[in-house]
Amino acid sequence: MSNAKSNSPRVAAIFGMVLLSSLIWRAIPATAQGTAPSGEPVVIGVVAPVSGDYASLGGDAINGINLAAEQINQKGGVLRRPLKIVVEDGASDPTTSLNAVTKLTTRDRVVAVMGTLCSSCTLAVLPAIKNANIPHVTIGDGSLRIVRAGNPNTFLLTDTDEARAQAVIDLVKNFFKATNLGILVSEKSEPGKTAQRVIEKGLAGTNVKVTSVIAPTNAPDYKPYLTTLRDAGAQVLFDGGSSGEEMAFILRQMQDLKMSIPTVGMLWVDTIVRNSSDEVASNYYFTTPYLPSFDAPEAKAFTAAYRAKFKKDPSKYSAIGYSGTWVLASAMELARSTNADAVTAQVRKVTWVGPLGKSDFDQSGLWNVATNIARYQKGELTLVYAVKR
Amino acid sequence: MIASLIQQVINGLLLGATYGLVGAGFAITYGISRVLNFAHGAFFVVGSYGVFALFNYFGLPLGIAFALGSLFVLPFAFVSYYVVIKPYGPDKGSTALLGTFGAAIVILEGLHRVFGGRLLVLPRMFDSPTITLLQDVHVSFDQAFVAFISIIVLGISLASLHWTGIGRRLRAIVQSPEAAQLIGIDPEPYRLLSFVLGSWLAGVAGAGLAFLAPIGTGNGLNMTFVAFVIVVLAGLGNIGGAVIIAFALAVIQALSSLYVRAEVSLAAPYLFMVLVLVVKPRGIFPTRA
Repeated sequence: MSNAKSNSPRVAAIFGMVLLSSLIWRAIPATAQGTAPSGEPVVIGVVAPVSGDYASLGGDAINGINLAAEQINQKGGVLRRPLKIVVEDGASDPTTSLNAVTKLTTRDRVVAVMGTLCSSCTLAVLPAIKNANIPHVTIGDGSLRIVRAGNPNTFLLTDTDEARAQAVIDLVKNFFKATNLGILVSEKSEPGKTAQRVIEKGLAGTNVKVTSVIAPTNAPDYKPYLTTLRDAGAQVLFDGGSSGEEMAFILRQMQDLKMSIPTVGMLWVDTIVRNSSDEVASNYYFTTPYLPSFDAPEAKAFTAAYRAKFKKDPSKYSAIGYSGTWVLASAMELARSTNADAVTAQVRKVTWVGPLGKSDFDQSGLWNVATNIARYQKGELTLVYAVKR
Repeated sequence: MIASLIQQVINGLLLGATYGLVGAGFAITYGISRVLNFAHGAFFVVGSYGVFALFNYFGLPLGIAFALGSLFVLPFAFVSYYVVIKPYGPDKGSTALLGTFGAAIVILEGLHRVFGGRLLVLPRMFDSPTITLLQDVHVSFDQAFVAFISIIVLGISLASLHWTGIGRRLRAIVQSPEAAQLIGIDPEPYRLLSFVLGSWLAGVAGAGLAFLAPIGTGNGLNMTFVAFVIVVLAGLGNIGGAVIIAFALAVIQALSSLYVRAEVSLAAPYLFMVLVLVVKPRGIFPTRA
């Protein structure tokens, strides 16, 4: 009797713990439980350049998105359903991107869209996304005009063109201590033109002289434009909006003209490394919110998983695509549905920490990720200049 | 300042050799077939991809790939002629013109499927990158070599048109197809020859530019515009005039980036075309025909 008496509080405690555990288990999103997802998939559409000038960047972003989807499905999927990614080629072209979004929203019935990795393309697809009333997360296009266009379902996840330009101003003034900056802008590049505007304005009235030239996109020869900047006495060159392949030729032609000045751009460096020599690539500095050498635990885990799956280093576009997918999946779990309004409301509240740090969307839908300046040297990407937000 | 002027003129002249091939090819095709060939830029791109394929997939040295790359244009030119030009031109010029648009789309889309949509980059042909002509005046070996070969090909083509029997008959058809027929020249084989020759010249230009700029299907439309501006300025069908204008256009483009605002510099060739057409509506070197 006494045993029974003394056991009863213990039994009650065990029963209570089981009950509590059961309640907690039900409250934890499926993504955290590791149960196999089943039923109709939750489909997220991706519009990214698989072809065209920025195809190599699109491939990186898609890899990041696929890695996130695989991890999410391993952890139980979204709302206990499998997460499926459908990719359409935006070809870095506004009309093609718009057709791709229309296809995804009407034929594939996606519950959210990610893309397009090209600011002018994203601006072109915003009305279609607004009409479809589905959440939309960008994957590296940095124009503030995207969030200012007034689409409440759109979220800009990147270092913005303005932030990149500000980082370049800091670099020129404080790191290179240059007094003469040459700007080469690619004719059709929206980010390039924005950065040019911000840099010219930011350096107006300082001791840094700025000379800008606009070159045709995919020009057959950059030497006339580079010669102009060389004659203006440029000590640092900023490139706004050329593709990696174009940049490889620009750096090559700078070498031809004996212009041994540092070049700063907004592009991830691997296309340049692939298409030119180590010597040429090491002259290129670039803005980035992420580097594979970042040592925060979440960044290290992402980098290791990416390397294991794709046998190469991730780029900033991989990190952005990966983060966007996790944020959308987490918002759907918190909303307990794929309803656009509910998910949109939760995107701003999601607390998710990944390779870009802690998710932090403001009311306008902007997660202005801190940007830094990095450089490729002897096979390694190194942080050259950390910019404070 | 003098050094930069010389550098820009040299930059322009070297690019002018490529433009010269493109312009002369377009003018030869138009001169005989009387069709504005809007697939011309597509043939240019075929030449570039030809070099890339020979180097990357067949492992040929870059020099040999450059020499043979333009030959890929020939089958495309033959097929385009028999499908688009022969059935519709020269009497139904507008139908043939639309047909060349279609051929361009088919060729460029096909290349897109085969090679993927990414821009492609070839390595340097020469390890030693530059020749220094004067202080602050430099020329890359690759660009000088490409320009040299382009000028040789251009020279041989123009010389053949002037000093061979076939060339004389071709020029007779350009001047007056009816009169040429009256003296027993059947224009048909010469139309085919001129179309294939003109297209091949575009292919040679594309093969050369593959070493100087990224390879992509987008270059096709750009080069068609360049060719169009050149032949309109020269006077439709004037082959020698097209070569002169091609060099002039490339130099104007290079110099404008030095002396006028960046935004204006891009439009310089087109502004030049408008100005010339206002004064000389039939071009600078109009043909007698």
